[in-house]
Amino acid sequence: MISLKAYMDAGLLVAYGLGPADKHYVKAKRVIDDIIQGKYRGVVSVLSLLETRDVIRKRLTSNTPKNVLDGKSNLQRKYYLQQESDRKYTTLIDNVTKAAKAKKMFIVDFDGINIGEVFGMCDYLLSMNFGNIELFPFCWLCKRRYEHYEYKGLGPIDAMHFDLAKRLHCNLFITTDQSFSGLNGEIAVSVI
Amino acid sequence: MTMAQMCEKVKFDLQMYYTFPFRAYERKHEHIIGLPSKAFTYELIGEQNIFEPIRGEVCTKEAPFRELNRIVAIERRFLDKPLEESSLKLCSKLRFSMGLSEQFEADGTALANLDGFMADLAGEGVDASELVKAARRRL
Repeated sequence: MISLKAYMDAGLLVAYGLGPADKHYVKAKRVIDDIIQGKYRGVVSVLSLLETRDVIRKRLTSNTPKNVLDGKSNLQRKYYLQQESDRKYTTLIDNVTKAAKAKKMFIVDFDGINIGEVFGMCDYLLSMNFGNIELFPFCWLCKRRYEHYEYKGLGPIDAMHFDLAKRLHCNLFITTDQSFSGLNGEIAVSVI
Repeated sequence: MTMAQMCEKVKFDLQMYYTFPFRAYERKHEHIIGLPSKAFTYELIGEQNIFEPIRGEVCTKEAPFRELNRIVAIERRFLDKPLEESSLKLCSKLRFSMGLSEQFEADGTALANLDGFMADLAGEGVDASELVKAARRRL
């Protein structure tokens, strides 16, 4: 039986790990359910997991209501958020490794791949793909009205994900990041 | 090799890597299974093969489904098998680093389902062995 391999970008894992609070959760869960049902095999890289851990920490910190953190000392705040983010990440690792042990997913690393070669490929991808210029109406820091343009495009870590997916002959690349849509070609890019 | 030649070579290798249409290769070559020949690769990227002459023409016949199946099976045997092994090793590492037991712990959802199932059947006079069998099937 032919089973396609689907590389899962960090955005998808973040959405699944954060749960229903994330706007992409429903679609991410559908993808994971399809993998568990054997419609295709998921590929999770250690790079995706590292990025996921980082993003979960950042999102949980910014999404936790201010009044929950206000009454705590700096040390208590750190402890609280570390516990919360580790709990989410541990649950995600538990689910991913269970799926991998049931041979529904692969967990992959850059084992045996020359890092210089990877950077060369990333350089090529970045030089071949210029992203979009988008207009934003407010300042990200002070949240006041401030119309400005920003560059939104493929970053070096994104390029590393794509390069790894190509090396593993993945047939699908599933992501929440629009920047990948320009790479749709040999690997079918699916932006959820 | 001069720097300019080296740059040209790197550019060429990258181009070859990124433009190689594996799927097209699978579709067109029903007779060749395995690694693509140099000639075929050079022809695909529109470059004259400077190392060896191109022998024959590229077969443009569509590969039958069973042939595609065979290619995928070969690809899986050579690529997926070592992937599975390294994946299992990484599983152990990750579970250990996050303080998860190496053995699978009881699945909370499955147990909840079982609880619900037992509650549904309670007091309905069902044979105990049948109940256990049914519960096993559900798990």
